[in-house]
Parts: sequence; C-alpha cells; structure tokens
Amino acid sequence: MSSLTRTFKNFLKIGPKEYLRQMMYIGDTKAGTLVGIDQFGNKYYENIEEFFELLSEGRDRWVDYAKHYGDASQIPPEWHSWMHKITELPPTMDPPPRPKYISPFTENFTGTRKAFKTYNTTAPKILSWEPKVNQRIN
Amino acid sequence: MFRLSSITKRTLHGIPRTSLTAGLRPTLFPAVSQISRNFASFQRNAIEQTNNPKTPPPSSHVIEHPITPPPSKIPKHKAPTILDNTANLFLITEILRGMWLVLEQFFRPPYTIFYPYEKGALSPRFRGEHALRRYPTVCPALAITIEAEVREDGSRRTTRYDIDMTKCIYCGFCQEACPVDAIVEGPNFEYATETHEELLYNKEKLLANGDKWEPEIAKNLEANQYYT
Repeated sequence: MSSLTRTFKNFLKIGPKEYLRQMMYIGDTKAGTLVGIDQFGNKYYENIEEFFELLSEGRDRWVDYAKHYGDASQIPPEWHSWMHKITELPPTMDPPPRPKYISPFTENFTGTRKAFKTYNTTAPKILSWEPKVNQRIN
Repeated sequence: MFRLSSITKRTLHGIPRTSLTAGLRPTLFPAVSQISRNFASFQRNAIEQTNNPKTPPPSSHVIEHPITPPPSKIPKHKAPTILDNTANLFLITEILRGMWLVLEQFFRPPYTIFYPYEKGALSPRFRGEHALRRYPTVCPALAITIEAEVREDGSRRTTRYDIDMTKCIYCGFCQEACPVDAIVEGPNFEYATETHEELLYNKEKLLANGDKWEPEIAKNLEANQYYT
C-alpha cells in the first residue's frame, strides 16, 4: 500500500478494472506510459516522475507479465538491460546487435521437466574391461 | 501513559491544550501522525521531572557561552494514580497506540521495490551468470574444469568446460583472463534452481547461455570498451 493521494491519483488514471488487476499482481497502483511489448507479450511501462516522488528509487520502470505466473527470468535480454537501467533507451529505439546464431529465449525452467541436467562432454577416460574368452584347448 | 486525572484537571481548571498545536508540522499525514504524537506525549509527561538548577563553577579563563538559564519553574507532574493505571489497563491504550502506528505506516509509500515487476539498477560490468561466447583459467575457487584435445591441424579444442556454479565466487577473474571475451559473466542473475545438479554447468549449457544473452552481453562490452 502506498500513500492515499498517490493511490487515488493513479486509480483515476487507470480505472477500476486495471486497478483490480494491478492489485492482484503487483500489489500497487501504478500509472505510466507503455514503452513497448516484447515477443512474449510482456508489457513494459515507464513513469519518470515516480523516480523523484517515491521513497525508493528504481520504481519508475516496471513490467506487466503476459503469463499469470510472471517470473523475472521471462524478460528477454534486450528488455532486461532496459529494465535494469543498463541502457537509457528501450530496444525499440536502440536495438542491440542480433547475430544469426542467437537462440530463442527461454525462461528459467527449474522445477519443470525441461530443467537442465548436466552431462559429460568428453569421451570416458576409464574404459570398462570387456572380457574375451579364449578358445579352449583340449 | 494515558492519564485520566490529568485530562479532568485540564478541563476543570480551563488550561488550554497547547500540545495539539505546538507539535504541528507540515507533513503529508498531519492528522494521523498528530493523533499518535498526542498519545505519545502522555507517556513523556508521566515521567516526573525534577527542578535541578545547577550553575557552572565560575572560572576566569573559560569564555562563558551565553547559556540560556534553566527555567525557574518546571511544572511538576504527579505520579500516575490508581485511577490512571486502571484506565490504562481497561482502555488498552498501549495497544491502541501501537495500532495507530501500524495504520500510519500502512498509508506511507514503501522503501522497497516490487521486485518481479520492478527491478533494481545494474551496471554493464555486472557479474552474473556465466556464458561462453563461442571461444586453463585463473579460477581461485577451482570452480572451472577445462580439458582439451588436439585437433588434426594441431590447434587446441576444448572438450570439457565445466563450471560448478555453487563453487563460483563471482570474482570475475575468468573473464579478465580471457583476451577475446569468450567467457564472460553475463547480466543474468535469475537462474536459481531447485536442485544442486542443475547448477553444474557444462560447455553446452554455457554456450547456450551465450547464444541466449548475446544481445545484452555485446551491448555491455561495447559500453565498457573504453575502460578495459
């Protein structure tokens, strides 16, 4: 919960439906401009005025996850740098380099069947003994 | 402490309650904080103050500072009576004061950020999850294991590049040692896992990380090129 004046101001800007949605997910009432949408449908918002208004800095950029169970690892690298304020401009205005070997982005799959399972990348150094029966001489 | 007798005395003798206006400050929440301040002031007044006019010893070589003289008459407050204690007990004023404090904090903006939705600032030099960028180390934690074989043309090919992410201390020596920025500590730090085994990265996993995070890694290295 934030200050009543800010909550009420933002409520008037976003309306009751979006207010309830935000209270369900973020738990705060926020209003800002839509900066962009990534390939997964996550929406990225910004409100520069909040940077000076709020007590804690770094609350002027936020993400509205497309999935119900929004996870921080669902943000692709282009928007990751914008979210963390490594870059000033969003990737829509300043696109990062994309070599052709780029693989499609995946979220953190831990806890699912797609979780990474490590394996050996070298040939085994110790070979098991393969028994060879000699011809019996009678 | 909440004092019932003091209130009755005030109203009886017609002393104006100055504490309501004296402590007023231009805050965002004047009404709420003022009420709790009034509650708290009862506690302060309950302590009996003693009139102790001590004068400093006269000395000729010490420059006397213009110290404001102590007030000749400090109003004495009486100790809480049985009526006060009983009122305090049955009206649970301490609990109410505590509840006011919680209510005040509830309507204040938080000092924290709402993490998965809002995220903190990171540097382009941030040392997070490792990523191999398609290219023996100085790992002080002995977290990296490398094996190589000789190619047909005599050059070296890495067959094993394992990093135990649970051993890594994120010192950044591995990315400093590499002249071509093949191994970097990328910007990702949200790779927490449920099991230990998932954090034993091999070469393929690290290369996949590189392919996944290349847009941001390249951008960060570009931003940092003047300082390396």
